[in-house]
Amino acid sequence: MSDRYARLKLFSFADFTKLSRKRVAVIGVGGLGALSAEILARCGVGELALFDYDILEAANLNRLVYRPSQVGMPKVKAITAHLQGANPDVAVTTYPHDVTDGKGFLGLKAELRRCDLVLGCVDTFAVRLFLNAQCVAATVPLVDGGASNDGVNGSVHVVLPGKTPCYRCNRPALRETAVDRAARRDDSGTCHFTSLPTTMAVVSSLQCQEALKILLVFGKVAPYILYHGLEGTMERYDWKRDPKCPVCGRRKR
Amino acid sequence: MPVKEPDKLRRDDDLFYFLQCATVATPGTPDWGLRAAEEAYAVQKFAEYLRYLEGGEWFTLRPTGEDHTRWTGKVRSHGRAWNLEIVFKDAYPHVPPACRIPELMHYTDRKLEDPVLGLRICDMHMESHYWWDEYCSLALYLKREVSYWVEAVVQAMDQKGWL
Repeated sequence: MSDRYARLKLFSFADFTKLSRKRVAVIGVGGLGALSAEILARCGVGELALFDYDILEAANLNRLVYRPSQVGMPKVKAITAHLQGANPDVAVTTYPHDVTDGKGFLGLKAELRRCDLVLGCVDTFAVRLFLNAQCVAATVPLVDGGASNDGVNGSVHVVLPGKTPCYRCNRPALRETAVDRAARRDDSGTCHFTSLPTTMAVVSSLQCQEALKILLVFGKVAPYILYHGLEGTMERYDWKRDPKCPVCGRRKR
Repeated sequence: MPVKEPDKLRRDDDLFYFLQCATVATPGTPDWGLRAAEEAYAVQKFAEYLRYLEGGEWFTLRPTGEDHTRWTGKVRSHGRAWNLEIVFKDAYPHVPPACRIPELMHYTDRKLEDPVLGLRICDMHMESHYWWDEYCSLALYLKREVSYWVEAVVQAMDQKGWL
Protein backbone atom coordinates (compact mmCIF):
# COMPACT_ATOMS: atom_id res chain seq x y z
CA MET A 1 0.00 0.00 0.00
CA SER A 2 1.24 3.48 -0.81
CA ASP A 3 1.50 6.42 1.56
CA ARG A 4 -2.03 7.57 0.90
CA TYR A 5 -3.11 5.03 3.52
CA ALA A 6 -0.62 6.13 6.20
CA ARG A 7 -3.32 7.47 8.52
CA LEU A 8 -5.48 4.40 8.05
CA LYS A 9 -2.57 2.18 9.04
CA LEU A 10 -2.62 3.89 12.43
CA PHE A 11 -6.15 2.59 13.07
CA SER A 12 -5.75 0.17 15.99
CA PHE A 13 -9.05 -1.77 15.78
CA ALA A 14 -8.57 -3.36 12.36
CA ASP A 15 -6.08 -3.89 9.58
CA PHE A 16 -7.10 -1.61 6.70
CA THR A 17 -4.70 -3.32 4.29
CA LYS A 18 -7.20 -6.20 4.15
CA LEU A 19 -9.69 -3.84 2.49
CA SER A 20 -7.78 -4.05 -0.80
CA ARG A 21 -8.93 -7.69 -1.14
CA LYS A 22 -12.61 -6.83 -0.72
CA ARG A 23 -15.25 -6.30 -3.41
CA VAL A 24 -18.31 -4.17 -2.69
CA ALA A 25 -21.40 -3.74 -4.87
CA VAL A 26 -23.09 -0.33 -4.65
CA ILE A 27 -26.68 -0.36 -5.89
CA GLY A 28 -27.64 3.17 -6.89
CA VAL A 29 -25.10 5.99 -7.16
CA GLY A 30 -27.31 8.99 -6.50
CA GLY A 31 -26.99 11.35 -3.55
CA LEU A 32 -26.19 8.54 -1.13
CA GLY A 33 -24.46 5.88 -3.23
CA ALA A 34 -22.00 8.29 -4.83
CA LEU A 35 -20.80 9.47 -1.44
CA SER A 36 -20.56 5.95 -0.03
CA ALA A 37 -18.63 4.76 -3.08
CA GLU A 38 -16.20 7.66 -2.67
CA ILE A 39 -15.64 6.95 1.04
CA LEU A 40 -14.96 3.27 0.35
CA ALA A 41 -12.68 4.12 -2.56
CA ARG A 42 -10.67 6.55 -0.46
CA CYS A 43 -10.42 3.92 2.31
CA GLY A 44 -8.81 1.60 -0.25
CA VAL A 45 -11.43 -1.02 -1.02
CA GLY A 46 -10.11 -3.29 -3.77
CA GLU A 47 -13.04 -3.45 -6.19
CA LEU A 48 -16.31 -1.60 -6.55
CA ALA A 49 -19.26 -2.70 -8.69
CA LEU A 50 -21.60 0.20 -9.36
CA PHE A 51 -25.22 -0.20 -10.51
CA ASP A 52 -27.39 2.69 -11.74
CA TYR A 53 -29.35 3.15 -14.96
CA ASP A 54 -30.00 6.82 -14.38
CA ILE A 55 -28.65 9.79 -16.31
CA LEU A 56 -27.18 12.72 -14.38
CA GLU A 57 -29.56 15.71 -14.25
CA ALA A 58 -29.09 19.27 -13.04
CA ALA A 59 -31.35 18.45 -10.06
CA ASN A 60 -28.73 15.95 -8.84
CA LEU A 61 -26.04 18.60 -8.52
CA ASN A 62 -27.10 19.80 -5.07
CA ARG A 63 -25.57 16.61 -3.72
CA LEU A 64 -21.82 16.20 -3.54
CA VAL A 65 -19.47 14.51 -6.02
CA TYR A 66 -21.09 15.41 -9.39
CA ARG A 67 -20.17 18.43 -11.54
CA PRO A 68 -22.26 20.54 -13.99
CA SER A 69 -20.07 19.44 -16.91
CA GLN A 70 -21.21 15.85 -16.31
CA VAL A 71 -24.93 16.54 -16.77
CA GLY A 72 -26.35 14.16 -19.38
CA MET A 73 -23.80 11.40 -18.65
CA PRO A 74 -24.84 8.07 -17.13
CA LYS A 75 -24.30 8.38 -13.37
CA VAL A 76 -22.04 5.33 -13.19
CA LYS A 77 -19.74 6.81 -15.85
CA ALA A 78 -19.56 10.17 -14.12
CA ILE A 79 -18.78 8.60 -10.74
CA THR A 80 -16.20 6.22 -12.20
CA ALA A 81 -14.09 9.10 -13.48
CA HIS A 82 -14.38 10.75 -10.07
CA LEU A 83 -13.43 7.60 -8.13
CA GLN A 84 -10.46 6.82 -10.32
CA GLY A 85 -9.27 10.39 -9.85
CA ALA A 86 -9.69 10.03 -6.08
CA ASN A 87 -7.94 6.67 -5.85
CA PRO A 88 -6.46 4.95 -8.91
CA ASP A 89 -5.90 1.74 -6.87
CA VAL A 90 -9.62 0.93 -6.95
CA ALA A 91 -10.95 -1.27 -9.77
CA VAL A 92 -14.42 -0.09 -10.75
CA THR A 93 -16.95 -2.20 -12.67
CA THR A 94 -20.02 -0.35 -13.89
CA TYR A 95 -23.50 -1.60 -14.73
CA PRO A 96 -25.60 1.17 -16.31
CA HIS A 97 -28.68 -1.04 -16.07
CA ASP A 98 -31.76 -1.60 -13.91
CA VAL A 99 -31.03 -4.30 -11.27
CA THR A 100 -34.58 -5.62 -11.57
CA ASP A 101 -34.34 -6.57 -15.23
CA GLY A 102 -32.14 -7.84 -18.08
CA LYS A 103 -28.42 -7.14 -17.91
CA GLY A 104 -28.69 -5.42 -14.53
CA PHE A 105 -30.50 -8.42 -13.01
CA LEU A 106 -27.91 -10.83 -14.41
CA GLY A 107 -25.12 -8.51 -13.30
CA LEU A 108 -26.50 -8.42 -9.77
CA LYS A 109 -26.73 -12.23 -9.65
CA ALA A 110 -23.11 -12.47 -10.81
CA GLU A 111 -21.93 -9.85 -8.32
CA LEU A 112 -23.71 -11.57 -5.42
CA ARG A 113 -21.55 -14.63 -6.09
CA ARG A 114 -18.27 -12.74 -5.82
CA CYS A 115 -18.77 -9.59 -3.75
CA ASP A 116 -18.23 -9.39 0.01
CA LEU A 117 -20.91 -6.83 0.76
CA VAL A 118 -23.76 -4.92 -0.90
CA LEU A 119 -24.53 -1.27 -0.20
CA GLY A 120 -28.20 -0.52 -0.90
CA CYS A 121 -28.59 3.12 -1.92
CA VAL A 122 -31.87 2.94 -3.84
CA ASP A 123 -34.91 5.18 -3.62
CA THR A 124 -37.85 2.77 -3.80
CA PHE A 125 -39.27 0.38 -1.26
CA ALA A 126 -39.86 -2.32 -3.86
CA VAL A 127 -36.20 -2.46 -4.88
CA ARG A 128 -35.10 -2.42 -1.22
CA LEU A 129 -37.21 -5.50 -0.54
CA PHE A 130 -35.91 -7.11 -3.71
CA LEU A 131 -32.27 -6.48 -2.75
CA ASN A 132 -32.96 -7.78 0.74
CA ALA A 133 -34.40 -11.04 -0.63
CA GLN A 134 -31.49 -11.46 -3.06
CA CYS A 135 -28.83 -10.80 -0.42
CA VAL A 136 -30.46 -13.12 2.13
CA ALA A 137 -30.69 -15.89 -0.49
CA ALA A 138 -27.04 -15.41 -1.46
CA THR A 139 -25.94 -14.90 2.20
CA VAL A 140 -24.20 -11.64 1.36
CA PRO A 141 -24.33 -8.82 3.95
CA LEU A 142 -26.49 -5.85 2.95
CA VAL A 143 -26.13 -2.36 4.37
CA ASP A 144 -29.13 -0.33 3.29
CA GLY A 145 -29.26 3.43 3.70
CA GLY A 146 -32.02 5.90 3.08
CA ALA A 147 -33.43 9.31 3.92
CA SER A 148 -36.99 10.36 4.69
CA ASN A 149 -39.17 12.11 2.10
CA ASP A 150 -38.65 15.47 3.81
CA GLY A 151 -34.88 15.00 3.66
CA VAL A 152 -34.11 15.57 7.36
CA ASN A 153 -34.14 12.04 8.79
CA GLY A 154 -32.14 9.05 7.74
CA SER A 155 -31.67 5.41 8.56
CA VAL A 156 -29.16 2.62 8.06
CA HIS A 157 -30.27 -1.00 8.16
CA VAL A 158 -27.69 -3.77 8.35
CA VAL A 159 -28.71 -7.24 7.22
CA LEU A 160 -26.32 -10.05 8.12
CA PRO A 161 -28.20 -13.04 6.67
CA GLY A 162 -29.00 -15.58 9.35
CA LYS A 163 -27.71 -13.34 12.14
CA THR A 164 -29.55 -10.02 12.21
CA PRO A 165 -33.17 -9.23 11.23
CA CYS A 166 -33.60 -8.78 7.51
CA TYR A 167 -35.23 -5.70 5.97
CA ARG A 168 -38.60 -7.43 6.03
CA CYS A 169 -38.47 -8.80 9.60
CA ASN A 170 -40.84 -7.22 12.10
CA ARG A 171 -41.77 -4.41 9.74
CA PRO A 172 -45.32 -3.64 10.89
CA ALA A 173 -46.47 -2.47 7.45
CA LEU A 174 -45.50 -5.82 5.94
CA ARG A 175 -46.61 -8.17 8.68
CA GLU A 176 -49.79 -9.21 6.91
CA THR A 177 -50.22 -10.64 3.45
CA ALA A 178 -50.98 -8.15 0.68
CA VAL A 179 -54.69 -8.88 0.42
CA ASP A 180 -55.11 -8.24 4.15
CA ARG A 181 -53.48 -4.85 3.89
CA ALA A 182 -55.69 -1.81 3.47
CA ALA A 183 -55.49 -0.55 -0.09
CA ARG A 184 -54.68 3.08 0.60
CA ARG A 185 -53.32 4.71 -2.51
CA ASP A 186 -50.78 7.41 -2.91
CA ASP A 187 -52.10 9.75 -5.60
CA SER A 188 -49.62 12.54 -5.03
CA GLY A 189 -48.27 12.17 -8.55
CA THR A 190 -44.71 11.99 -9.75
CA CYS A 191 -42.29 11.42 -6.95
CA HIS A 192 -39.83 14.19 -6.16
CA PHE A 193 -38.44 13.81 -2.68
CA THR A 194 -36.34 16.39 -0.87
CA SER A 195 -32.66 15.55 -0.79
CA LEU A 196 -30.34 17.38 1.59
CA PRO A 197 -26.60 16.86 1.07
CA THR A 198 -26.06 17.14 4.83
CA THR A 199 -28.44 14.27 5.66
CA MET A 200 -27.03 12.23 2.79
CA ALA A 201 -23.49 12.73 4.10
CA VAL A 202 -24.51 11.62 7.62
CA VAL A 203 -26.33 8.52 6.34
CA SER A 204 -23.52 7.71 3.94
CA SER A 205 -20.92 7.95 6.74
CA LEU A 206 -22.99 5.70 9.01
CA GLN A 207 -23.52 3.24 6.17
CA CYS A 208 -19.79 3.06 5.37
CA GLN A 209 -18.87 2.75 9.05
CA GLU A 210 -21.10 -0.32 9.37
CA ALA A 211 -19.77 -1.68 6.08
CA LEU A 212 -16.17 -1.33 7.29
CA LYS A 213 -17.05 -3.08 10.57
CA ILE A 214 -18.39 -6.04 8.60
CA LEU A 215 -15.58 -6.14 6.04
CA LEU A 216 -12.73 -5.78 8.55
CA VAL A 217 -14.46 -7.51 11.48
CA PHE A 218 -14.20 -4.98 14.27
CA GLY A 219 -16.59 -3.26 16.67
CA LYS A 220 -20.25 -4.10 17.17
CA VAL A 221 -22.49 -3.97 14.13
CA ALA A 222 -25.64 -1.88 14.70
CA PRO A 223 -28.64 -3.63 13.07
CA TYR A 224 -30.60 -0.40 12.68
CA ILE A 225 -29.62 3.22 13.20
CA LEU A 226 -32.05 6.12 12.96
CA TYR A 227 -30.83 9.68 12.50
CA HIS A 228 -33.18 12.55 13.39
CA GLY A 229 -31.84 15.65 11.69
CA LEU A 230 -34.14 18.21 13.28
CA GLU A 231 -33.44 17.04 16.84
CA GLY A 232 -29.82 16.16 16.14
CA THR A 233 -30.23 12.74 17.73
CA MET A 234 -29.33 9.21 16.74
CA GLU A 235 -30.93 5.98 17.92
CA ARG A 236 -29.79 2.40 17.69
CA TYR A 237 -32.33 -0.42 17.61
CA ASP A 238 -31.63 -4.04 18.37
CA TRP A 239 -34.63 -6.13 17.51
CA LYS A 240 -35.10 -9.84 17.10
CA ARG A 241 -35.49 -11.77 13.89
CA ASP A 242 -39.00 -12.80 12.93
CA PRO A 243 -39.09 -16.62 12.80
CA LYS A 244 -42.03 -16.37 10.40
CA CYS A 245 -40.40 -13.83 8.10
CA PRO A 246 -41.13 -14.87 4.47
CA VAL A 247 -37.57 -13.95 3.46
CA CYS A 248 -35.30 -15.15 6.27
CA GLY A 249 -37.57 -17.04 8.72
CA ARG A 250 -37.33 -20.77 9.25
CA ARG A 251 -40.95 -21.34 10.16
CA LYS A 252 -43.78 -21.28 7.67
CA ARG A 253 -46.24 -18.39 7.85
CA MET B 1 -66.47 14.84 18.92
CA PRO B 2 -65.71 13.55 15.43
CA VAL B 3 -65.12 9.83 15.24
CA LYS B 4 -61.47 9.07 14.58
CA GLU B 5 -60.96 6.90 11.56
CA PRO B 6 -59.12 3.70 12.44
CA ASP B 7 -55.69 3.44 10.96
CA LYS B 8 -56.45 0.23 9.12
CA LEU B 9 -59.84 0.00 7.49
CA ARG B 10 -61.11 -3.24 6.08
CA ARG B 11 -62.24 -2.66 2.53
CA ASP B 12 -63.72 -4.73 -0.24
CA ASP B 13 -60.19 -5.52 -1.40
CA ASP B 14 -59.82 -7.79 1.62
CA LEU B 15 -62.15 -10.25 -0.08
CA PHE B 16 -59.95 -10.63 -3.13
CA TYR B 17 -58.08 -13.72 -2.05
CA PHE B 18 -58.73 -15.30 -5.43
CA LEU B 19 -56.50 -12.65 -7.01
CA GLN B 20 -53.41 -14.10 -5.36
CA CYS B 21 -50.94 -16.53 -6.92
CA ALA B 22 -49.60 -19.59 -5.13
CA THR B 23 -46.32 -19.95 -7.04
CA VAL B 24 -43.45 -17.54 -6.57
CA ALA B 25 -41.24 -17.73 -9.65
CA THR B 26 -39.41 -15.16 -11.77
CA PRO B 27 -39.51 -15.18 -15.60
CA GLY B 28 -37.11 -17.67 -17.09
CA THR B 29 -37.09 -20.02 -14.09
CA PRO B 30 -38.57 -23.55 -14.33
CA ASP B 31 -41.73 -22.65 -12.35
CA TRP B 32 -42.52 -19.54 -14.40
CA GLY B 33 -44.98 -21.52 -16.54
CA LEU B 34 -47.04 -22.25 -13.42
CA ARG B 35 -46.91 -18.66 -12.30
CA ALA B 36 -47.87 -17.38 -15.77
CA ALA B 37 -50.87 -19.72 -15.79
CA GLU B 38 -51.92 -18.47 -12.34
CA GLU B 39 -51.63 -14.87 -13.53
CA ALA B 40 -53.85 -15.59 -16.54
CA TYR B 41 -56.36 -17.41 -14.32
CA ALA B 42 -56.51 -14.49 -11.87
CA VAL B 43 -57.09 -11.98 -14.69
CA GLN B 44 -59.85 -14.21 -16.09
CA LYS B 45 -61.49 -14.54 -12.66
CA PHE B 46 -61.29 -10.80 -12.10
CA ALA B 47 -62.96 -10.15 -15.46
CA GLU B 48 -65.68 -12.67 -14.57
CA TYR B 49 -66.21 -10.96 -11.23
CA LEU B 50 -66.56 -7.55 -12.89
CA ARG B 51 -68.99 -8.91 -15.50
CA TYR B 52 -71.10 -10.56 -12.79
CA LEU B 53 -71.16 -7.77 -10.22
CA GLU B 54 -70.57 -4.60 -12.20
CA GLY B 55 -72.09 -5.54 -15.54
CA GLY B 56 -68.84 -5.50 -17.50
CA GLU B 57 -65.10 -5.27 -17.17
CA TRP B 58 -63.24 -2.01 -17.73
CA PHE B 59 -60.23 -3.63 -19.35
CA THR B 60 -59.28 -6.12 -22.02
CA LEU B 61 -55.90 -7.71 -21.58
CA ARG B 62 -54.08 -10.65 -23.09
CA PRO B 63 -50.52 -11.95 -22.82
CA THR B 64 -48.21 -11.46 -25.77
CA GLY B 65 -44.88 -13.14 -26.35
CA GLU B 66 -43.86 -16.70 -25.60
CA ASP B 67 -43.06 -16.30 -21.92
CA HIS B 68 -46.15 -14.20 -21.11
CA THR B 69 -44.10 -11.37 -19.61
CA ARG B 70 -45.83 -8.69 -21.66
CA TRP B 71 -49.57 -8.04 -21.66
CA THR B 72 -51.35 -5.67 -24.01
CA GLY B 73 -54.94 -4.54 -24.29
CA LYS B 74 -57.33 -1.68 -23.67
CA VAL B 75 -58.54 0.16 -20.62
CA ARG B 76 -61.97 1.84 -20.75
CA SER B 77 -63.42 4.79 -18.87
CA HIS B 78 -66.03 7.48 -19.62
CA GLY B 79 -67.03 5.70 -22.83
CA ARG B 80 -63.53 5.84 -24.29
CA ALA B 81 -60.75 3.28 -24.57
CA TRP B 82 -56.98 3.65 -24.33
CA ASN B 83 -54.12 1.26 -25.06
CA LEU B 84 -52.66 -0.50 -22.04
CA GLU B 85 -49.33 -2.29 -21.77
CA ILE B 86 -48.02 -4.23 -18.77
CA VAL B 87 -44.50 -5.63 -18.47
CA PHE B 88 -43.15 -8.13 -15.97
CA LYS B 89 -39.46 -7.46 -15.43
CA ASP B 90 -36.99 -10.23 -14.62
CA ALA B 91 -37.32 -9.54 -10.89
CA TYR B 92 -41.14 -9.93 -11.00
CA PRO B 93 -42.96 -10.85 -8.72
CA HIS B 94 -40.49 -9.46 -6.18
CA VAL B 95 -41.16 -6.02 -7.70
CA PRO B 96 -44.55 -4.85 -9.06
CA PRO B 97 -45.20 -4.83 -12.82
CA ALA B 98 -44.50 -1.77 -15.01
CA CYS B 99 -47.52 -0.21 -16.71
CA ARG B 100 -47.95 2.11 -19.69
CA ILE B 101 -51.09 3.85 -20.93
CA PRO B 102 -49.44 6.07 -23.58
CA GLU B 103 -52.43 8.14 -24.64
CA LEU B 104 -53.46 9.04 -21.10
CA MET B 105 -49.87 9.72 -20.15
CA HIS B 106 -49.73 12.26 -22.94
CA TYR B 107 -51.99 14.49 -20.86
CA THR B 108 -50.33 14.12 -17.47
CA ASP B 109 -46.96 14.60 -15.82
CA ARG B 110 -47.52 11.49 -13.75
CA LYS B 111 -44.99 9.36 -15.53
CA LEU B 112 -41.51 8.02 -14.87
CA GLU B 113 -38.56 7.03 -17.03
CA ASP B 114 -38.25 3.29 -17.37
CA PRO B 115 -34.98 1.77 -18.54
CA VAL B 116 -36.54 -1.56 -19.50
CA LEU B 117 -39.26 -0.27 -21.77
CA GLY B 118 -37.02 2.57 -22.93
CA LEU B 119 -40.10 4.75 -22.53
CA ARG B 120 -42.06 6.46 -19.84
CA ILE B 121 -44.30 4.43 -17.56
CA CYS B 122 -47.27 5.41 -15.40
CA ASP B 123 -46.22 6.68 -12.00
CA MET B 124 -48.05 4.21 -9.81
CA HIS B 125 -45.43 3.82 -7.15
CA MET B 126 -46.90 2.92 -3.78
CA GLU B 127 -44.13 4.21 -1.59
CA SER B 128 -46.33 5.60 1.17
CA HIS B 129 -48.54 2.55 1.51
CA TYR B 130 -46.63 -0.31 0.06
CA TRP B 131 -48.91 -3.28 -0.32
CA TRP B 132 -47.30 -5.45 -2.99
CA ASP B 133 -45.88 -8.87 -2.15
CA GLU B 134 -44.73 -11.76 -4.31
CA TYR B 135 -48.09 -13.53 -4.07
CA CYS B 136 -49.97 -10.61 -5.63
CA SER B 137 -51.14 -11.07 -9.20
CA LEU B 138 -51.47 -8.76 -12.16
CA ALA B 139 -55.23 -8.81 -11.54
CA LEU B 140 -54.80 -7.37 -8.03
CA TYR B 141 -52.48 -4.72 -9.47
CA LEU B 142 -55.14 -3.82 -12.03
CA LYS B 143 -57.73 -3.55 -9.30
CA ARG B 144 -55.72 -1.59 -6.77
CA GLU B 145 -53.47 0.60 -8.89
CA VAL B 146 -54.43 0.78 -12.58
CA SER B 147 -58.16 1.37 -12.02
CA TYR B 148 -57.38 4.11 -9.55
CA TRP B 149 -54.73 5.73 -11.76
CA VAL B 150 -57.04 5.79 -14.78
CA GLU B 151 -59.92 7.15 -12.71
CA ALA B 152 -57.75 9.92 -11.23
CA VAL B 153 -56.23 10.95 -14.57
CA VAL B 154 -59.54 10.84 -16.46
CA GLN B 155 -61.18 12.91 -13.73
CA ALA B 156 -58.41 15.50 -13.96
CA MET B 157 -58.74 15.60 -17.77
CA ASP B 158 -62.52 15.95 -17.48
CA GLN B 159 -62.15 18.90 -15.11
CA LYS B 160 -59.86 20.64 -17.60
CA GLY B 161 -62.42 20.08 -20.36
CA TRP B 162 -60.20 17.76 -22.37
CA LEU B 163 -62.77 14.98 -22.60
